[in-house]
Amino acid sequence: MTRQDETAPEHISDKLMIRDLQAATDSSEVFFSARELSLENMRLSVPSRGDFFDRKSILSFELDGVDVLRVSMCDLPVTVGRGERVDCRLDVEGISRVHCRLERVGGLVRLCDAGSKNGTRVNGKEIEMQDLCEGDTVQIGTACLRVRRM
Amino acid sequence: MNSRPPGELTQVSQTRVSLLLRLRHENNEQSWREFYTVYGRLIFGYSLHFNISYAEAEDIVQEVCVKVFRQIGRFDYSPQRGRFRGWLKTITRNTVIDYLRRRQRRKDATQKFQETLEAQFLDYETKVDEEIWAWEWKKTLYENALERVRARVDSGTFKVFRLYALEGMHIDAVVEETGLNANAVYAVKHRILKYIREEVDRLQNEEAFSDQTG
Repeated sequence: MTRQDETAPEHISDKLMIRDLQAATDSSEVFFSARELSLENMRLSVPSRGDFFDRKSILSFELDGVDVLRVSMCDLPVTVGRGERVDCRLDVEGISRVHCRLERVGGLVRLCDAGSKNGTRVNGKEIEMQDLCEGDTVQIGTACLRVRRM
Repeated sequence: MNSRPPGELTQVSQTRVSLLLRLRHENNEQSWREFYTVYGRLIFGYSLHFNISYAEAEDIVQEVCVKVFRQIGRFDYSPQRGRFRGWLKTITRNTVIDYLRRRQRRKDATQKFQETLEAQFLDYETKVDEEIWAWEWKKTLYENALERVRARVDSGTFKVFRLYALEGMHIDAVVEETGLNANAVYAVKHRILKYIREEVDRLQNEEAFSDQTG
C-alpha cells in the first residue's frame, strides 16, 4: 500500500488503487465478525458514567493503599459481604452478611446494594446501584475502599 | 452486466448529512453503527500495531467508541477536514497506552520493565506513529469504500471485479469463468474503480461538521 498524508483517489492510478484495495482487506473479517457484540456492549455502556473495563480487567479495592479485594471481570457477577457463602468475603465492622453485588453490564462494572443494613456509598453518596470508575471511593460498613482498574 | 442496474446510483444523489454531525446531534443507534463500521476499523488496525491481540483490539475499539459517543457533543466545532481524525487519534493512542499499562500491571511487571515500557511509549511520539495512523486510515477508507460499492452493484458485477482486479486472475480465465467478453470485463473494472473513488471521496466528506450534498 502506498503511504500518503491524505488519500486523493482522483490522483491515484488504477494500478495503485487496486494494490491499495488488496492490502486493505487483510483483517476486515476479524473486525466485522465482532461488530454486533461490540455494538451491544456500547449500547449498554454509553449512557453511563462508568469506566470501560476490558474483558481481562481486574477490579481492585484498596484500603489505605493495600489491596483487600480483587475481582476479575470474567468472575462477575459476585456477592460481597461477611457471610460464609458470599463470593468475596470482607470482614469489617458494619458490613452485612450479603452486603452488595458486583455485576458486569456491557463494558461496565455495576455495584448494587443487596439490601444491606448500613447501606453502600460511592463517593459519599448512598446508592442502590452505581457504575464504577477508577478512583471512586466505595464505603461498605466502616471501610472506605478505593477502586482501581488493572 | 455492462448496463448499470436500476437504483445503483441512488445513494450517490442523496443529500447526506455528515456522519459526525448526526452523531453530534442525534447520537442514535444508526449513527453509532456507521461510526463503528468506518472508524472502528481504523482504531482496530492501529491497535494491532502495538503487540495487541484481535480480542484486545476489539475491547479498545469499544472503549474508544464509548469515549467518543460520550464526548462528541463537547468536540470543538471545525469544518477542517482531518481535524476530527486528529482528536480521535489522541483518544485512541491514550486508550492503547492506558491498556498496555494495565496489562503490564496485571502481569506484576517489575519497575525495570515499566521503565522499558515508558521508553516504548516515548517512541510512539515519533513520526512512525503518525505514519501508522495515516496508513490505517487509508486501509479503512478503501475497505469501507469497497464494502459500499459491493452493496451498490449486483453480485455478478462484483464477482467480475473481484476475480479480475482483486485476485489478479488472467483476463482469459475471467472470460471463461463469467461468460463475458474481454471488453465487458474491462468496462466492469473501470466502472467499479470509478465508484470506489466516489465512495472514498464521500467517506472523507462525512468527517465534515456540515451538510454535504453528494
